[in-house]
Amino acid sequence: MTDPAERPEPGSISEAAGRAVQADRARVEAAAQAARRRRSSVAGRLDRGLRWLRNRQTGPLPRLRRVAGVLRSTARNRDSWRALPDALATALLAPVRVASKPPPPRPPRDWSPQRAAARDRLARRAALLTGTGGSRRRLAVIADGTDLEAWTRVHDLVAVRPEDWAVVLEGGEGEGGIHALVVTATPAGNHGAWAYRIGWVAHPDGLLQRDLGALIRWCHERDVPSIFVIGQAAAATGSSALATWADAAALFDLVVTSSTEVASALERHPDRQGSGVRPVADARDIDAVLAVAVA
Amino acid sequence: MTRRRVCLYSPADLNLVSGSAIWVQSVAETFHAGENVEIVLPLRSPERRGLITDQIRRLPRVTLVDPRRQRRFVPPTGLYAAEALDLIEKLDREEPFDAIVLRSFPYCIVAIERPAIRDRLWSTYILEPERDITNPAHVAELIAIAEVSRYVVVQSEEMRALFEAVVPAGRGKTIILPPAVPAPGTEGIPESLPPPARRLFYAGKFHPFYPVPRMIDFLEELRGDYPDLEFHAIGDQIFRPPGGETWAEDLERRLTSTEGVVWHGAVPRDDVIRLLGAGGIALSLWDYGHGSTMNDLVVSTKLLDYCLAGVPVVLNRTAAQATILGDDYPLFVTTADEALPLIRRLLSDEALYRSAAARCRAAADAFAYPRAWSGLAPYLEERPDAAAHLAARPKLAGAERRIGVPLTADVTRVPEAILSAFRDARALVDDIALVVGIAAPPGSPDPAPGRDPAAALRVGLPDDLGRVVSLRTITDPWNWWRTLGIALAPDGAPIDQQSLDLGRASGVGVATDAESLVSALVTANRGWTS
Repeated sequence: MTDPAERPEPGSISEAAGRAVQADRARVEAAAQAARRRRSSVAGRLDRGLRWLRNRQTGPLPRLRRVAGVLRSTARNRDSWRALPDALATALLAPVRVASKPPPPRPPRDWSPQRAAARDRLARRAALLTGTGGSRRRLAVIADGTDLEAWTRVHDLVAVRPEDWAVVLEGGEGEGGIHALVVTATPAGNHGAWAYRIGWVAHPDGLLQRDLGALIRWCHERDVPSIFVIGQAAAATGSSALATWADAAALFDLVVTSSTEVASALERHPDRQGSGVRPVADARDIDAVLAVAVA
Repeated sequence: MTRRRVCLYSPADLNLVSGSAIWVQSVAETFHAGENVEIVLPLRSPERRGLITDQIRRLPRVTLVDPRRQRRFVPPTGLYAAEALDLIEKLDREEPFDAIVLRSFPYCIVAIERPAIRDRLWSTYILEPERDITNPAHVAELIAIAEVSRYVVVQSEEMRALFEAVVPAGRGKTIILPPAVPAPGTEGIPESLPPPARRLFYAGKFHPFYPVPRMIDFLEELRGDYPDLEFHAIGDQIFRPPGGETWAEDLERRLTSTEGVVWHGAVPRDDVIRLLGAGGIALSLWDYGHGSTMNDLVVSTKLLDYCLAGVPVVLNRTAAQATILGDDYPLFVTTADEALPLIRRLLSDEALYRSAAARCRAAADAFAYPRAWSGLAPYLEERPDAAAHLAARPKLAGAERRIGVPLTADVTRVPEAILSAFRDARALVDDIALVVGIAAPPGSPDPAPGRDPAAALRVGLPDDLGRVVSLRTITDPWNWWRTLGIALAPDGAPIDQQSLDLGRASGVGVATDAESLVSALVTANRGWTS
């Protein structure tokens, strides 16, 4: 059963689900009270004491039996007496650490608060992102060489690097900071600096997306929206593309892609934290991407 | 050659046929492939059936130990962790083991408290899909195991990457022991592939994670077009999910009453391969609604058995399975429902059937017992090249165009000799990147994201090279070299020799100037990477 404390607040899912959660909480509380009463009774205390004595992993009685076993086997097998103190200590003291059973599978997490926050973030930044009078936006980007070259003509780019993005972006906060984070699905973004750190790859740098996750969190804490762009080339590999990019895409406020197949698959991702996936005709056109993001 | 004595213990009940029980047989056979290895295998439960133990008994250097040596009346659930470890300690006192291969997290967490055996502990498969690796308490326990164990054993390169990401203490002591199979042509396994046949196969335990009811649906649907189609189900371990009482009953009813279903019950592994050898289509489908996606990194024993038999397998695309069969294997699915059209195609397209079957058989070769043993031998035999063996890991795609420079911890700028050699090479070979690493003492924590102290070296970089040079503190040299194809170490440069040696062991070519760098790039790009 899910820990009541971890359940979403009523209202974050639906009213009916909220009522069910309340009813469930009441049942759990009643059961907990009954268990407390049982535990504090004399019979309950006696039972707990006996169970502690007999506990096969940690209780004193099995430990004493183990000590007897060590003495018996040492005498019978003529084992080295030198090993006896170690064996006795082990029989008396080990194991002090017992693994608990794995918890039951967790129900899929409710990401609706994160999704709503992503929508709000994009809405708040809409005016800044679309700009007026052709003004240049300041964008933190991770992209391949071609995109960087094309985008730098229309906007002010900060090509962030894994080793110093925090220092660089914090240094620019005095000048108003960045307007958005735009990351494209490319295997070696920013001239190879982000290689093995965005798409799925069997390497510690990429598996838990520590660098990318931290960068996105940094942006969200400052109300800077994050956009992931999956172009035609990245989407062309079909199910392999999804396996490569789906986990990274799930972290962003919005995914923009030119592939309808990829869009519908990502929309169904159970851990999608962003507001959704939107189609774009040309994923290489940064202005089209920004326009779609705030549409 | 010195004789080696290995204790192998798994909490699997060998009276039941399941992937975990087959794994024990597979690992016993793998160690037995070493000519001087003696294996002692304490059982968790007394023998009631010889389905697996009889197969193990054929191996002359394997000794099965009855759990009643530890406890006169063993309960149906078998020995508890503490009792099993008591038995292992007792056997160790009689004659010491060189390695104690202990499977599963709950046993290893108990075993690290035992000073008498922990220095020889090979903690095996402790990253369990059922446990939450984002839980700090669990991660702390994994770290404790990794710090104390002689080695941590995982089953695939993908699992090693995940373990080393979650548990930095495991870096440099995590080794790979995949499940293994006999080599084709040995132990009665024919070298030729079986002919196409109208049979579907499933072998393994019955658990909602493996959607067997859906496979029976496929059979019923396909029998309209192929009335002689059969579904052969092998195994007798039926999981009874809490709150899902009817699932097991419904499954049993369908297995016993559906026309075309042949339920063989529990069958020894050799007989499974013999049954598969009659030809057909094997199904290895997963339902992620009932299991963790960490299973994507697992090498499935049943997949290897299917491959060894030389039948085409319709299976989920996962990282580990794509590595085994190749990314372009034609029978991968994303969901179980996608399997039906593929099965239909296989039944009508003999060329596809034969090409997929050949692909599967070829994949099994890499998991033959002698190959798996050769991966373990350096560690068990404590050979001097064990450290080099740990560093020799497959390179990542694209590594061949990345050049690594491991510098000593005290450098304050990237030496000009390195930049000049890289600049000259770049003039001849476009699209290469330079990764400058600063050595850190072993066990150093990873730098905070976006705040790597190595970035301080950027100040002295020339404008023309700044954008193609990455800077990084090397806290994990084993995996750092997986991303690099060539090392650049000009004479006189402050190179960290220990890191460079690991690089050499990982298979990188070492260049000392622009000329040798270009030459190494040409060699590296001839396609040695995966």
